[in-house]
Amino acid sequence: MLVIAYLVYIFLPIALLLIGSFGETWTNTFLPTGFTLRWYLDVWNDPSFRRAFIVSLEVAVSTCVIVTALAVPLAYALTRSMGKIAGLAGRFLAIMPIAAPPAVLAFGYILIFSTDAMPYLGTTWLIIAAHVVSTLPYMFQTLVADIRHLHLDKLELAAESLGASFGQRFFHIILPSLQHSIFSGLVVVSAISIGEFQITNLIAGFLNRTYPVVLLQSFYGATGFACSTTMVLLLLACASAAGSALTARSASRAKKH
Amino acid sequence: MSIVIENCSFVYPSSGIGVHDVNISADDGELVAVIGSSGSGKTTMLKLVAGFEQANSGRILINGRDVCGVPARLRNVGMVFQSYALFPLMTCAENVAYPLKIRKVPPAERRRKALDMLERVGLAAFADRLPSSMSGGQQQRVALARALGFNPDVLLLDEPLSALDASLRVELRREIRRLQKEQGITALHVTHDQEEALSMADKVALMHQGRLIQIATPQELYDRPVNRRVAAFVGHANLWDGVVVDADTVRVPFGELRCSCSPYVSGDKVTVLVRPERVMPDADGTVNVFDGAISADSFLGAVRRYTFSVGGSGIEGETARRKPFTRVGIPPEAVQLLPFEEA
Amino acid sequence: MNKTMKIMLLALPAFAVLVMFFLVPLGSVLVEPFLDKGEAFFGLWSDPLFLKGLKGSTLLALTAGVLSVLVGVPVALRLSVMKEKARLLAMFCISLPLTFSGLIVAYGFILCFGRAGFITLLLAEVGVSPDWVAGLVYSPVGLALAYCYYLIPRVVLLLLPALTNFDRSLLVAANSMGATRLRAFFDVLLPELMPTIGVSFCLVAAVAFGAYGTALALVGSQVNILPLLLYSSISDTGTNFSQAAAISLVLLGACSMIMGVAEVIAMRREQRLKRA
Repeated sequence: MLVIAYLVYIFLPIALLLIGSFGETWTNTFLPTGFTLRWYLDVWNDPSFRRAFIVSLEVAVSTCVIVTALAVPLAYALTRSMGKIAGLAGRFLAIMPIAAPPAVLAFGYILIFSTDAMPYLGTTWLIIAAHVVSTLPYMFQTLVADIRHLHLDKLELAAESLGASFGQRFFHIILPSLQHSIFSGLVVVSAISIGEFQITNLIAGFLNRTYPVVLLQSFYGATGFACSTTMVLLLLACASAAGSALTARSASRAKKH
Repeated sequence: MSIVIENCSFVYPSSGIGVHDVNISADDGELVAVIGSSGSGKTTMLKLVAGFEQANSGRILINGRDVCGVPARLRNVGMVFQSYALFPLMTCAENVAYPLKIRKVPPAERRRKALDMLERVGLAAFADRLPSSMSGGQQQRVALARALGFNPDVLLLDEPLSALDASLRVELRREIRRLQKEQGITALHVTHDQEEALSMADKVALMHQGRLIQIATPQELYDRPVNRRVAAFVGHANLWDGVVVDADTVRVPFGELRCSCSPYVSGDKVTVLVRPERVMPDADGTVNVFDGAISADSFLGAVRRYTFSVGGSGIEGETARRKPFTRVGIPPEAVQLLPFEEA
Repeated sequence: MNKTMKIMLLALPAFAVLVMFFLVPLGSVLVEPFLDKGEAFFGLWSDPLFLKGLKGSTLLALTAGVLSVLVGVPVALRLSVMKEKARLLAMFCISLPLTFSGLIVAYGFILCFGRAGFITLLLAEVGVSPDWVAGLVYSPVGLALAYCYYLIPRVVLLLLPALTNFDRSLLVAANSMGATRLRAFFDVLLPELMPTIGVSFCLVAAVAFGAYGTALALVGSQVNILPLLLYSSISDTGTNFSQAAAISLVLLGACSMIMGVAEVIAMRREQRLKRA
């Protein structure tokens, strides 16, 4: 009962967004009147939304690639050397995205990257860097949990005693074992990157605004248009989450067999 | 093939514990068990031989070759881990073939060798199964096949049976011993289970607090322990504080025992050892005979273990006799004197 | 070079990125207020707008924290006794909002609780004034309601492992000693959960204190909370950097402090578990 009530609380706003995005007009009534696909066509035909959509995808994909390349060696190194520094770094990574509010971090970017030495404010690369920094901890935590759970250290010792060099161990044992967690971590990373608004809104240039940044403008327009633009973002996020759930399930199945 | 550990010392930088000046050797085809309580350094010894840690001083020779400084992957040792450490994403056959793959054996040949090894541990039918779908005993058999399949110089066993059920353990002991003998491979077997060590090994090394206390055949270790700790760790034992009275009498808390006291002399404090199965219920004669009563009694099937009280002291005994008795005897040749040590 | 050092080299690229794009920017924010000898920083404490923002943010953080825990704990409790399949499905639905942008939540809430929102109109049917509802929703307390949408899942996700690891035979044991179920809950389960509840409260409070996206989308920059104040002092024309830096310092300090408390709680729990 309680869980159902809670699920209603979760799904009511989404349901209203969905209904609203197909509604012709919606002013001062419970639900909209009329059915139309007009709003979605409007989004499709709007050049600024199209551009933002593409920027968002570019940023998300680049973020995924860079985060993987950074997080896998990092997680491996920190779990292998259980020294004090490694422990501290892990804890720091766990709390850093929350301890530093996004607006503050963005302000830091404005201060540092608008200097003559580093005039990167407004570039897409800086947006990607911001997304990398804010998603790295999530990927890191997913990987560390999996490395501990799979007892990779033991497997690596075994491979070492069987004659495998570091490279062989990494590509034969570690990477295949981590592929599920890398993938499910990536889906969270891409979902966060696609939805990120608070930092990007302050550091993006006019031409490389991401989808959420442009989305905010539509809130001041027609309800139907706002609903359909929001639905587009929501569908992107849902696709990511569903992907994550599916990989997690197939991973747990693989473990059972 | 042989393993020689010479004056080896190693200290973990983080905790300061380790092993000190250890000498253990295993001759060609021998299985040497290293036993001791947790923290005794037995697993550390194995890590040093495997190359996971490098000794601070001393030498380790595998087949006459000094392996100090040689990384683990180049030492050519087969190792079986307590947690099996089978690669979860590879099938059994792939696991067994993995070291061959590393050694660049062609695919068809390594598959054939892997199947052959699995056959020898009785798991040929499981070749294409994933390890996680098999029981612990089966997984450990696969691990054994993997450790032996690439003709390593020596076999290292790190508590291979302690994650298994008791009944399986006995079965696998025989299996390990059989394969080890078949291959004629020299093996070092670390375990905390003294019964396992005694039943499998050619020689047993007992370690305590990072030091080797005694290395001997199982029989010798049981019959001629060098000190109180070995006597207590291996099998059951009566251990009493005693004082030598004369050349063939020692005083224990419940009276005097006749025995051969050499090399100790009158007045020496000693620890007196008598194994429970040597205590004779309803003994005849007058030498080392004590009257008293049974104060604790547990029936274990083949034997009955009891505590016999004599004037406030207890004598532990084992017997097949079911009837009650009020007198026990200790044959003089069953009494051993060890250097005095506080309990 | 020894083995550990070589392995630590692998962590170097990630460290470099974190230093360049996290520590250095934050460091510059920390240094900025000292450039004018703290004039702007000390000036803040007599600025009524700032004080109102501080009050609003504190209220928002506390309300969001309390509400999330009050809803999150029972939901997690219920989930922990559900069958595996049902639980996975429910978990999937519950963690959906975590990946949502705050903007989606914001517009969803406008549709529900806005001046012409679904719930607002429903409540109007039973005589609740729409103006009152809208007034509530656009206040810090109302913002907390919207924040809860993606904060409650965090609480549930943190609590669930602690609950599934909890040995339920302890409750049965308490029952056998004559404790009622409610009593057993308060005497046995709750003390066990308290550290995790404390950690999740701190976590959601810190998020609520520092976020501005949902608030900006819901009510524009009109509501008085600190992150929005910072946002307007950066993005409005006539950017006031020294004021922005001073507010940043307060925000960073407050959020780090709350997370510090969470760390202390988590560490004390770990130590207790180690000793046991």
